[in-house]
Amino acid sequence: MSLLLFILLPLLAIFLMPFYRAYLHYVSTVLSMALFGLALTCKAALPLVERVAVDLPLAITFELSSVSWLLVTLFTLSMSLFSLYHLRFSSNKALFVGTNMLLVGVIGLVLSRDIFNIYIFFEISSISAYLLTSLNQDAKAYGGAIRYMIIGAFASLFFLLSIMLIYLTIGVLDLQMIAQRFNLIDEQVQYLILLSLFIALGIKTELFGLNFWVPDVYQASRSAVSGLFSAMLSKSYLFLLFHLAYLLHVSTSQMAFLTLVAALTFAVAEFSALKSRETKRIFAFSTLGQIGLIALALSYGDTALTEAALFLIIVHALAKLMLFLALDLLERRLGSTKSEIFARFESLFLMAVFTVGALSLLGIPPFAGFAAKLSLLKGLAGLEAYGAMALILTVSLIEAAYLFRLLSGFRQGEQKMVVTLSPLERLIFGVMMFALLLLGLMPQPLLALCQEAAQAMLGGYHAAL
Amino acid sequence: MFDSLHPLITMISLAIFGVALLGVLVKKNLFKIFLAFSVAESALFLFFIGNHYTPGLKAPIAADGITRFDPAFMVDPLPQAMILTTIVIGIAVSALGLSMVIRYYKLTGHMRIDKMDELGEEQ
Amino acid sequence: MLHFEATLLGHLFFGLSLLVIVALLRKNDGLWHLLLLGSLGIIFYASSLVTLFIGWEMMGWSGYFILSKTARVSTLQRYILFNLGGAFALLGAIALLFSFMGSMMLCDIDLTLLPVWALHSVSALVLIAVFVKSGIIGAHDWVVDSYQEASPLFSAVLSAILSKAGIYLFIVLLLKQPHDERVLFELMAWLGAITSVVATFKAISQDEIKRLLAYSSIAQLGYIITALSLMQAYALEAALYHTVIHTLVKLLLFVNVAAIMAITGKERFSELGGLLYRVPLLFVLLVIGIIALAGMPLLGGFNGKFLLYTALLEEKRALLLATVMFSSASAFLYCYKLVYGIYLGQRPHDESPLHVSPKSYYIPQLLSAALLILLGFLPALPTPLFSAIGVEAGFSALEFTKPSILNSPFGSFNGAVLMSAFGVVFVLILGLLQRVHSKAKAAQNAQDISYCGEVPKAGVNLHFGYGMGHELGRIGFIAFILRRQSRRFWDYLNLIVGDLSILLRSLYALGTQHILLLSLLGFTLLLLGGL
Repeated sequence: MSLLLFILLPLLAIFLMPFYRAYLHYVSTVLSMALFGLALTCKAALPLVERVAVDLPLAITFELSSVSWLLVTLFTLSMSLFSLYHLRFSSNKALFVGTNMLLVGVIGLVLSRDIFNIYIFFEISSISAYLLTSLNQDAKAYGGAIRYMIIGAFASLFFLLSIMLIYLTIGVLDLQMIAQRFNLIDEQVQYLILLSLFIALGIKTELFGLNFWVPDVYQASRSAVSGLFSAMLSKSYLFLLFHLAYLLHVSTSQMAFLTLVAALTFAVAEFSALKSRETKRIFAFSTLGQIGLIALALSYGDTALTEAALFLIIVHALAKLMLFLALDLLERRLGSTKSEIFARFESLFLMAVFTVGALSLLGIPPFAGFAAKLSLLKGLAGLEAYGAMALILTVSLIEAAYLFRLLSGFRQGEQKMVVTLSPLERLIFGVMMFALLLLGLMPQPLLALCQEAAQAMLGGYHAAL
Repeated sequence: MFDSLHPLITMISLAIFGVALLGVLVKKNLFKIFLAFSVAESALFLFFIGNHYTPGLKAPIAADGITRFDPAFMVDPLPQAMILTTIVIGIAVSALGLSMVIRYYKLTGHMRIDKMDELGEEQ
Repeated sequence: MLHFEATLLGHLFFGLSLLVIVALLRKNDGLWHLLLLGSLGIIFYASSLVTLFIGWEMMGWSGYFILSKTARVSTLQRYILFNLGGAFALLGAIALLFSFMGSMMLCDIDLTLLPVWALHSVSALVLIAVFVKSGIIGAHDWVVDSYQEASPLFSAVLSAILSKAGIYLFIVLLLKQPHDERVLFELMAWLGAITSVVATFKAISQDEIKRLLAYSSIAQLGYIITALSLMQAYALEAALYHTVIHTLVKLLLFVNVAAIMAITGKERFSELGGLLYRVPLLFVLLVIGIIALAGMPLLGGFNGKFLLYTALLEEKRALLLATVMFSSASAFLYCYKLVYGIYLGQRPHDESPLHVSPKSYYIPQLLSAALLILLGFLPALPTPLFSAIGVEAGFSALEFTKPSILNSPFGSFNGAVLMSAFGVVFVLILGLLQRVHSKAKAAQNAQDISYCGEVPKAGVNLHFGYGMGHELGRIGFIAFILRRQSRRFWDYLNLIVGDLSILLRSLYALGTQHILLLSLLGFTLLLLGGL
């Protein structure tokens, strides 16, 4: 059993593509479900560390800690649901290559313990994301993809710069060793490295000030692909950013800066969604808002809050993926993603899907979002961060305003198109809704896993404070 | 005396990097923007390799009498491997970008970044 | 995750909910109503703050989905935003309490441990939730439209039950806990009193029946809030008594109105009138309802008011008492409008045949009328229960001799005697009137008012209930009240937030190179600032 399987299997599947060109959707489904199963079986053996090539400092290390296990499981699960949803459609080469590369990229990002390796997965995930954005092959899609590429190339310049500075000053690439020797670096260069990393990862994590391109990219992509971005891509960078921050023991004031940026990400994105009439952009703004919320929780470097943030990552990934897949379904039937489409279809099942998704995003019981929001608020209360609590509650009301505006569309409109779902689609959405309900009613098992993961993620961060 | 080359290399690569960034920021032609990114990347490569170069050490090739991995006796091979990898990635990204620019040009008849207005609220 | 505990207070509130919802249960949206009942059960039997909140939110959104079948989008948005606003305030209070108590159980709450600012904040946040749910003036913007646009039977649920959840919340979180918060309670007493005055006058000036009842509901909750804010045993009894009465009365009235709307298809006073002879039983039931609503002696309605007045007197709150009495007296006007506008007066000239039989609407009304009459005979019947609840909440026990005698600090009265005496007098007067009536001549034509020097045409509405309340606009301070609208404030807020949203949104429409430039500028500034 090797961790490399998570990376090699999808890559192998891509290389062998010519042999099963007509069955790509089946291959993708089987592969992602197999990887999900594989991830589940790894649980007992945590933490898994695997060295490729010779020895330190040349070795490339992969580590499956309880936090990366949680994320890998989430990613493979999201990918399985995504592929299951696409079973109905014909085999699509670009989609197959793009999604599987994205899977490799995000899994690699959370598994790698080597900063140059992280850079490679950074680029793999970016290239696949560009490819996926352009999937529709119209001017909109290419426009969005080109915009994405320019911003992405800019981010990778800064990432490269920080890697080079690290290697030039301390001569190591392994994260643990970087963490050990980071203090040896001249303080000003340290700051430059951290700042470059912040710019590079901030763009990818979609933090405020660096995220103005996000709604365009989501709008240009297919809805289902946006769901994948929301569930996998942004989450892996969120992990990476804070993993590095904890590992490098950034100062309290720098963490406070991250808190500020996260709060701005949350508030500005939710406000911006209020008057939008384009559902994809609304969901993109909502994703940004949730990322801000998660980043806010992570930026305190507190176990309880990190636990809540990890729980929120999972819950949000599920809810957003479900919403985007449902939107994709609507987009295919009605040919539009403007918010008016909510008044133009008739399907009790889809209405339930959107409702459950929106309620979960809002953190309204009994759905999973509530358990996440509650543990978040409890954590903030424990730190006496009353300002952040007030912000979250106030901005949630704005979030409620636009999500319920979307939901109220159900009862408008005269000529409605009856949308029927295939049994498989019902199964996928049913499972996701059930999962959101179950996690809302019984969050303890997952919260326990998140707590374990939070301790692994924080490592020695707390001790240093 | 060779040590004094490092600041010079840093300054030169920084200058190239600056020019390239300027190109990224002000050029309107998508092709030129991607070109500018390539130049910026090259500037970084120059910066890294140049600063890492120490004269007088052996090349890291087993045939040259190197028996074990020790950067004290040989030139560190890692930066070169890194840069080679990065160049490959850079080429891949540029190729993808330029092919998308071509597709975009075929669909819209222009490749100016300030005219890209397909996306946004009123679509 | 869910923790429950059976308390007398919970039994009281849940019993009322059960009564109302079962009485109103219909097949078409029965499932949602059962969900609503379930969420109320969670609220009233919750023993932890989280459980309470879960029920609270479920109540909010299940109400939303019932309402969404009939209401307009803007009303729905108002409903959900106000309710979520209240709920989030409650969540804030819960999180704040948790940060000091380290526990989510209700029994672990000890408000005396809070520092002053935290006590103020928790009380204020809980009060926001309470005020929104009960529709206290300022936070009542969602109430009237929702009541009006809800299906007739759901209006009854909204008014009779959902508005009481706020009262329960207050008792559980603030009244039961010892603390020395005074400022906010003083404010609350006056807000309640002012609410009752303002809502009473707003009610009088309404032309739509359900809007009138909605405002009346707001006014009644104002009394309850005032009573609660006194933090005293008899005042608590008054509040609970009033809660029970108001639930029964609003159940009766809304179902009565629902019946009228179902059989005539009309919902305005100006379109109705003279239904007395067509549906006499509905008339009798309505009269019972409004006697209780107005708090006139005899029926149950008086008991709550009596306790409130005496409690206010005992606390020496003369100004508050005067305000409450003023609004209570003014309430006769809208009660009158209700009776006259629908059942008496002139029949509309375009009167149509009755659509359906009102029979299916009788049961809930008869039930609640019977209970109101019972409480008239035995006013102290629920006193032991209220007393026990008061003791649970840390107040002294109430004086209780026998069910027919209601005690207060300022004396008592015997309901059975009073009712019997009234019955005798009523029968006597009825007989007298019957004799007089036999000599009276029936009017040939309702339009014939030639004594007044004019004979209006057939289309002119001489109906007394018609236009009633307009003349109030000429009275200076009432006109002032009627002109005030909190809606303008909320609309303005909505406008500002919308503009802010569009302004912020323009950030996300920046060109690619501008975004890069901004990032680079940020990088440079941070670099220079940090070095």
